[in-house]
Amino acid sequence: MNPVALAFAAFVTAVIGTIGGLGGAILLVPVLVLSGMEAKYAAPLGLVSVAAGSLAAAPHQLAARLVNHRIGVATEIVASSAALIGALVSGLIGQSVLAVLLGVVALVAAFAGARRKGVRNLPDSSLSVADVGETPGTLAGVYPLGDGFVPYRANRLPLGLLGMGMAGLISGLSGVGGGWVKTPTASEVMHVPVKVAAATSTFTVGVTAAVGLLVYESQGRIVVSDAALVAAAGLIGGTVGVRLQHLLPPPLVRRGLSVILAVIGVLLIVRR
Amino acid sequence: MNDFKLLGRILQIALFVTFAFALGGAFIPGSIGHASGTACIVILIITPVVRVGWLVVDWVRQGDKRFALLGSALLFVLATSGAIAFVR
Repeated sequence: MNPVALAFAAFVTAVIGTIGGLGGAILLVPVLVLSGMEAKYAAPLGLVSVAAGSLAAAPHQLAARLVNHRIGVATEIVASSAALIGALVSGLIGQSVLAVLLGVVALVAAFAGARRKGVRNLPDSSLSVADVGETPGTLAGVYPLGDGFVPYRANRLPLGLLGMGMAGLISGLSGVGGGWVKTPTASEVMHVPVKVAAATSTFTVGVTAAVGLLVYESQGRIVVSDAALVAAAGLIGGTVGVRLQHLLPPPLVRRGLSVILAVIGVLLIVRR
Repeated sequence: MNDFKLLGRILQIALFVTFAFALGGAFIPGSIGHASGTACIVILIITPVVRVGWLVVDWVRQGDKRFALLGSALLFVLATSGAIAFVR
């Protein structure tokens, strides 16, 4: 792929990945493979894009207090452990079976997001800007929405952890980031507001990508000049994406996420 | 209260430095460009782990022991994953 096209693809996927908390690798890797790049070189570039998008989004998301680190850390333990197990057993499952599995998961997540109407978590007029952020010792918090402040709490933790474990497992099996499963799991299963879910997922996919990049670096699979170009474009894309995420209303983010997941699901099943 | 302002500032600096190294890695030919690109990748790997470490220290300071323990467990899982990946 020529450098301009590579940079453009990395920029666009980082923008979309950051807005939806998807991570971007699930979008960038298929594009690179379709353009003729070998999957073993495309996967590390996908993770570079994820890590760059995560770093670019971090300062803005921290300032806006959108990330719930306690939810992120609690769920990432399960996701990372499952990713390790998935990586260890990845040779036992056929790529075709895996593609169908990923496709079905993407379509289910798309359906879950699309069928819900309205906003689940509503502003509370008794809250002020001083309440915004995480509530220590709990998986709850308050986030700003327009002129109001919305309280939330992560519900159905066992089921949510199961979903995060599945996200980690398929991430370990397939080599793509799990953000596209983590965000719908946090939003639709745990009832975390989609913007908080996306911001928290953007934080955790950065953690997952760090481990993946370490592995790829040790295997000599990272083409440094391409990775640097993807990182530069991903950093710009992540910066643009996080600003758009701040401006867009939650239902629009959720519907957009559903459309992207549906496209990913169909592509995975058709191209298996 | 978590000192996210300082963490945000550190990550902002990391962002600018990473971007500079990324541009160097993408456009400077030869060993200098390679070193610059490698530095960019190293920062991308280190930053999220530092962020989790920062959170653990902050939660210990806040007395939020349960989540400090969870954060430490996550760092342990990450270290184990990295070690197993290298061994394999």
